[in-house]
Amino acid sequence: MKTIKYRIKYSKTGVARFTSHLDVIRALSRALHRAGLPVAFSAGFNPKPQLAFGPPLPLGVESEAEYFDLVLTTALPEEEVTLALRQNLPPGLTLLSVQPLPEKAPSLMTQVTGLDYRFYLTRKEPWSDRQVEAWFGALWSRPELTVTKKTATGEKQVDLKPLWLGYELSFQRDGLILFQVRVAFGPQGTVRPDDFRPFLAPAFQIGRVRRTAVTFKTGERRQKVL
Amino acid sequence: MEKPARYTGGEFNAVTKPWTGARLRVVLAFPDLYEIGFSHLGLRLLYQRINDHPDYLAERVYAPAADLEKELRAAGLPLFSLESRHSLDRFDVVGFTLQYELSYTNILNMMNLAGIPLRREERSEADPFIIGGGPGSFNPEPLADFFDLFLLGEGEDAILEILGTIADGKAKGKSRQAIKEDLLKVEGVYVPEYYHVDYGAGGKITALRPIPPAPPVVHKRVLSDFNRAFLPEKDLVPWVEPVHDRAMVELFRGCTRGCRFCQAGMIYRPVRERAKTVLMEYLKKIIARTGYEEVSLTSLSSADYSQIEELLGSLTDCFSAAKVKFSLPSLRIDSFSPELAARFQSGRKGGLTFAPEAGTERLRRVINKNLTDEEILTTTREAFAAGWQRLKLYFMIGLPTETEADLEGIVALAREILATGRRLHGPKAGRVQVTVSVSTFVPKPHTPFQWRSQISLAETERRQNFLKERLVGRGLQFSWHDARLSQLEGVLSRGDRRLGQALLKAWELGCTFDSWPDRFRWDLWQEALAAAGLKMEEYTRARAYDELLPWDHLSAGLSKAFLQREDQKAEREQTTLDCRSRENCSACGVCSTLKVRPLLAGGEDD
Repeated sequence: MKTIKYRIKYSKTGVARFTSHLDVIRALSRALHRAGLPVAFSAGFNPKPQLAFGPPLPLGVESEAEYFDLVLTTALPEEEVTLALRQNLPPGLTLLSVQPLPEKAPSLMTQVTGLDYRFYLTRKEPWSDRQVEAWFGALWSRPELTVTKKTATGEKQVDLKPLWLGYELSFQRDGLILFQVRVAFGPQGTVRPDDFRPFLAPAFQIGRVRRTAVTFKTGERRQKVL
Repeated sequence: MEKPARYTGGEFNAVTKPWTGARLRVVLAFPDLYEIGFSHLGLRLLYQRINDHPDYLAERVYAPAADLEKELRAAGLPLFSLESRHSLDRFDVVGFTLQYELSYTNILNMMNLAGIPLRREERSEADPFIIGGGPGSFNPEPLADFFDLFLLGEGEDAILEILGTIADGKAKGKSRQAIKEDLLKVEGVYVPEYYHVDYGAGGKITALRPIPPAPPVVHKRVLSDFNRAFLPEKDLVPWVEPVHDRAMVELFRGCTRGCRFCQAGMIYRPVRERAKTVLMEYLKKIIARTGYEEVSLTSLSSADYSQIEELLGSLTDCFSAAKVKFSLPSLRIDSFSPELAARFQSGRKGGLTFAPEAGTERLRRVINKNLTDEEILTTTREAFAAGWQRLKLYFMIGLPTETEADLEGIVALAREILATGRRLHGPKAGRVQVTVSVSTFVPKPHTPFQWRSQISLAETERRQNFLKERLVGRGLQFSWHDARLSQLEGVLSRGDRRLGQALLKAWELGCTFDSWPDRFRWDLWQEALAAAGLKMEEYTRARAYDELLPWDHLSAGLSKAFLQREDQKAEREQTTLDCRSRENCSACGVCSTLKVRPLLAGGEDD
C-alpha cells in the first residue's frame, strides 16, 4: 500500500506545558482518531498509528516548534489534513503547519541538529542592560560549563560548552530579559533547559521557558519541501 | 512535583463555563488521586450531565498527592478545582463520590485544605452544601457528622432535582436549614440530621427516630427506563494516563446472579439492559468524539448481556477498520468461551482472570456463586488450550461457614489448574503461571451476609499463612490483601455515627490515603478508635436479625425478609436461581417496593 507522509508542526502552550511527552503522544493519537484521518497503523498484535516524534520537550517547557511525522494510507490535500487536525487537537496544542514529505524522507529524529530555547528572565540585582550583556558574555567565554547530571546509575559530570551553539539577548521595556540559546541535538548529546539553571539562578529569576525553533540538517541531505 | 497535569485540567472535552452567570456552582470531588478518580465513569457522567444544563456549572477536583498538599499548606493556598482554579469553598455544592470506605479520611482532608469546616454544625450559610453519592451512601453513617445530604441510588436525574431545589431556595433567600427541609422531598435524598440515633450498651442502637417531616425510610433512586438514561457523549479525554484509560459504556445496570456477598449485586437491582441499538448509536458517537482506541463494556457481569453475541458481531462490523478494541471488565467462568475471550484480546494472549471466589463447591453454594469444580477446570483447560499461559484466580477468605477444607480447596484447585496448563503447554510448560489472589471477606450492608461476623485480624493472618505455606512452587503465585486494611474496611462499612469521632481523630493524627498500603497507618487508627472509646470488634461482630442496624432507615428496595431468607439458605448450602427469567423471581422486594421492572434487551424470555 502506498503511504503518504506529512510533517506536522504545532505549538504547546499554557497549562499543556505540564503534560509529559508520552501523554502528548497518546493525546495526539486520539486527536487523529477523532479527526477521522486514514492513519496508517503498524503491523502486529497491537497496531499503533504510525507516528514519529521529534525531540521530547521537557515537562514545564512551552514550545512553538513541535513536530511529528504522520503516515496516511490515502493522499489528502494539506488543507484537508490541516482542517481535520485543527478542530481536534486538545486544548493547549495548536496546529501551525502541515507539509507533505517525500516517500523516502529520513526519519524526523535523525534530521534534527539543533534546538532553540528562550528563557524569560528577571534580574535579581539592579543591573543595567549593559551589565547583563557583560555577564552573559563572561558566561559564554568560560572554557567549560560543567554540570552534574543524574543518570540511572548515579551522577556524571557533563561539559555543556561544546553543545551550546550560541545565544542572543533582548531586553523588554518592562525589564524582562529574553535569553535565547541554540543547543546541539544529536548523537553527541544535547542540553536541556534545566541544565542552564545552575548558571542562571544566582543572577536571575527564571520565568517561563519556551522552545522556539528546531533546526534540521542542511546541505546535500536537505529536505526540499521544508 | 510529580505529574503536575493531575491538577491543571484542560483535557479534551473539559468544560469551563463562565464563573459568573451560573445559577449554581458544583464541584465534583473524587477522594483519591487523579489516575484513580478519572477512571470512574459516574463522575464523568455527572460532570457532563450538570454542565449540559444551562443554569449550572460543574467542575472537578481529585485528592492532591502528598507533594501538592505540602506545597499548598506551606503557601497557605486552598485546594482548587481543575477548571477555574477556584477554592472548593467558593462553590455552592461540593459533591463527593463514596466508592470505598478507605477514602473517607481523604474527604475530610480535601474539605480542610479548602478551608471548609468539617462538622456540619460548624458550617455557616456561606459554606457549600457537602453532598455524597455512590455505594457508600447505602450506609454513610460514619460520615453523617460531616455531610449535609446523601443521595441513595442512581444520580443522573436526581442530581438535577437536588441542584434545582438548592438553586430555588437560594434565589428565594431561604436559609440552609429551610433548603435542607425542601430537599427531604427529593426522592432518594437522605439528610442525616433529620434522624436521631440512640445507642445502648455495647454500642447497640436502641432507637432510630426520624424527625418530621423526614420520611421514616429513604428509598434509593432508580431509573425505570434505562434506555432513555443520560449518556455522556462528549466524554473527557485525559492528558495524564489514568488507571483505566478508555471510554466506558454500561451494557446494563443491576445483576441477576444473586451472589450473597456482593453488595453491588444487591443495591443496583433490578437488572436493566440497554437495547443494542442504543448502545451502537452511543458507541459511534463516543468513539468519534473522544478518539479513544478502547471501550470497556462495563456492567457487573457483562457477558450476561442478553444479546452479547449480536452486539459483538455489530461491534466487529462497525469498528474493526478503525482499530477500536473492546474489553469486558471481568469474565465469568460459566459464560467464558475461548472465542468470546479472543474477541477481546486482539491477538495478544496475556493473562486471563477468573473469580471462583471460594475453594469448594460447598462454599460456592453458600455464597450462591454456583460453579462446579468441573466447570472451573473445563474453562481453565479451554483457556490454556486456546493459548493463554497466565491465569489469575480471585478468591475470598473468611466467607461465612469457611473451614480449613475450603482453604485446602483453593490450593487443590490452583494446583490442578497449574498441572493442566503445564501439560497442555508441553515444551513451554515453564511459562505457565497461576496466580491466586486472595482478599478478605467483608460483610456489607444490604446483603444477606450483613448480620455475619467478619474474621479477626489474627484469624485473617492465620488463614493467609495457611495458603502462603501451601501455594508455593514453580508456576504458582500467591498474593493477598493487607489484613489490617480489611479490618478497617469492615469497621467503616457496617459503621455507625459514633465512628465520626474516630474518623475525625484519625485524620487529625495524619491519616489519609488509607487504601494505599504504603500510606495506611494502623497504629494511628488504633489510637483514633481508642480516643473515641470504640472497639473494632463492636463493628466486625455478628448481629442478631432483630437488632437495629445503623442503615435500617436506608433502603435499596430489598426486603429484610428476603435478605434473611438468603442468609438462612446460605447456612443450609442451598442455592438461589438467577432471576433473569421471571419464573425464578426470588422476591427480593425491589420491583414491588420501587415500582420498577427488570428490562432485558431482547424482551422478557430472550
